[in-house]
Amino acid sequence: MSGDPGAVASPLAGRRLLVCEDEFYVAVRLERALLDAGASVTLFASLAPALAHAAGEAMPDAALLDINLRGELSFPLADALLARGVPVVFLSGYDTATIPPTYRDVARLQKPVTLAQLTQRLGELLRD
Amino acid sequence: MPPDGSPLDAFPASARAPDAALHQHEMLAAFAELAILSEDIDRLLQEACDYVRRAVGADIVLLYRQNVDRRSVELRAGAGIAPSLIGSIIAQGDEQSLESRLLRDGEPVIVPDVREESRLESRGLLRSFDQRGLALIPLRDGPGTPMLGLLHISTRCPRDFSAEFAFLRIYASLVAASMLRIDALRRRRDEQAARERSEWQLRLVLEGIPQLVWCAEPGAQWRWMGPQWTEVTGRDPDSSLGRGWLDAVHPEDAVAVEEAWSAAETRGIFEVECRIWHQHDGTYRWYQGRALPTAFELGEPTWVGTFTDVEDLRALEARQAVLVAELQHRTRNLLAVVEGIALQTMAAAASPDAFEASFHDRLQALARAQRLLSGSEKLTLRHLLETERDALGIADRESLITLDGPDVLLPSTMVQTLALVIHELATNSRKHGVIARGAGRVAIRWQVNVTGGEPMLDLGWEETGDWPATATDSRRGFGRELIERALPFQLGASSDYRIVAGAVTCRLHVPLGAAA
Repeated sequence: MSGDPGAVASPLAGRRLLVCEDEFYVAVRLERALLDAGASVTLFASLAPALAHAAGEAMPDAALLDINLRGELSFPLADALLARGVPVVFLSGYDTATIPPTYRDVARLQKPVTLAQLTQRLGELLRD
Repeated sequence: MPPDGSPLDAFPASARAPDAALHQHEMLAAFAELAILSEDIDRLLQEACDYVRRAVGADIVLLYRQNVDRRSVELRAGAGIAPSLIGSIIAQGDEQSLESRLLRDGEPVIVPDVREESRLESRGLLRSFDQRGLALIPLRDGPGTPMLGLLHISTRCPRDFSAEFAFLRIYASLVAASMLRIDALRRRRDEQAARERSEWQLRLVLEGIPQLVWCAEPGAQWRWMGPQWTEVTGRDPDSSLGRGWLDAVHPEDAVAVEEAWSAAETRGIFEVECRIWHQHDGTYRWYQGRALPTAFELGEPTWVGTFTDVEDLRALEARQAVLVAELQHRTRNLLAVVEGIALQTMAAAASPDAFEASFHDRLQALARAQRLLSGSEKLTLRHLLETERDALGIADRESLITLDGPDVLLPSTMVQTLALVIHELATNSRKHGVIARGAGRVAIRWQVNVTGGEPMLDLGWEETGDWPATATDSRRGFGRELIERALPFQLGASSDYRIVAGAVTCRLHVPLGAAA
């Protein structure tokens, strides 16, 4: 929040983030944490609208993707974003073993994730 | 009497009655034919008794067979006695009796009058049958052969059977030879039947087990295979012999099979999983191959092996891995949901006590939704609504809350959110509305409409009664957040939620298709 003095120094301040998460309460919590860190957030619960958004003009600075979105895997979305140079963090309830080796180098966080972990990881990616 | 030394001369003793001797010879010839051809031991022995009785004019003729214990005899056939006696067993009590000596040493017994002879064990028996003249002839195939039993010939009048002795001896050996022949025949048949049975069982197993059975020489050289191989692969046995069978193995598994063979000799077992062509499926199926070296011939083993179909097992394993991953995913998501509910409840709660009560109720609603989801049958909207209504635990719930709508199968993705929504509406009613007052009406109505080719569920909660307007809370309530944000986000639904004095309406418009 703009009134929060901590947010001024946050690496996420002013950043545009794409978040894909199909579980409302998880999504709301992520959104709240990222907003508190000064970022702006676009939320999607399913793959198709997120893909459309990723192909559009307004590119996000980074993306946080749940791997399973209502039974669809978010890998095509990751491909599209990575191809346009957008850093991606996978968020998964699955074991990391289920992620294909193609995405070995993609950052990942395992649910349940702490908000500190989340902002730190995104911050690192955005600094690079 | 023929003067040419024909076999009839063998019975000079019958000279006292030439006609009788001729009669005996004819009887013997007739019996000999039967003895050579017959395979029925009981009939043969019975005929023997009848022939002898007529040939020598005896009153009683019996055939005893010595039992294997050599201490008793069994009456196997008899003429001149009641047939019911056949089968009787007579024990040998006195080792010095004439009968015992006969059976032991083969010494025949001729007793012209049994009343004069004290060494007969069967004296009492003979008296009871009123018999006096007696001849007992050993049944044996020839000198030195085992004693099979004895032939008993007796008459009511005293009689010396010395004259017929030679005839009776020949007769007895003819009977003994036939007994041995028929015994041997029966034994051979039993053995053959046992062999056929065992071969039949072996073939049944080899051809009936649901595995591909085979034998191989070192180097994967097949030299025999069961019919299952041809049945499964559609390849004829001839072209599969040697290394021909490898043509039915999936090319990608050929290396694994070769490696398994190379390792087999040092490991002492051949073990591999490979795909084998299945002619009925028109595709390859996974098989587990195993073989052990057996029956060494000149130091070279024969490998006896099987291929077992493990396709379904592998598919099951893969499905199980997916299910475990899915379970993990759901469990972690559920924890996140619980955490989210806790945070939202906390944000909207006026006090810790209020938090505890609301949070507990919401967890209960979540638990009910999970129970519905884990049920095996298809879940209908009515079932979900009834479950929530029953959970209120109030007596007049069915008159206060009415349900009206068609059978609608709920996609599993909708269950949790919808259950929480109904729970929130009911909780509100319990605090301020119809349920709190015990008066008024909650009408839940629904229908399915198709808009733009997509089935949409229209669900309405119409609560009317008599209660004052409640003070509007500045904080966004949990229920309102759920209905106005979670529903659209999670299910692509639209909603219209209004609370005024005496009326609560909540209308939901939810796509029933998979992804919203």
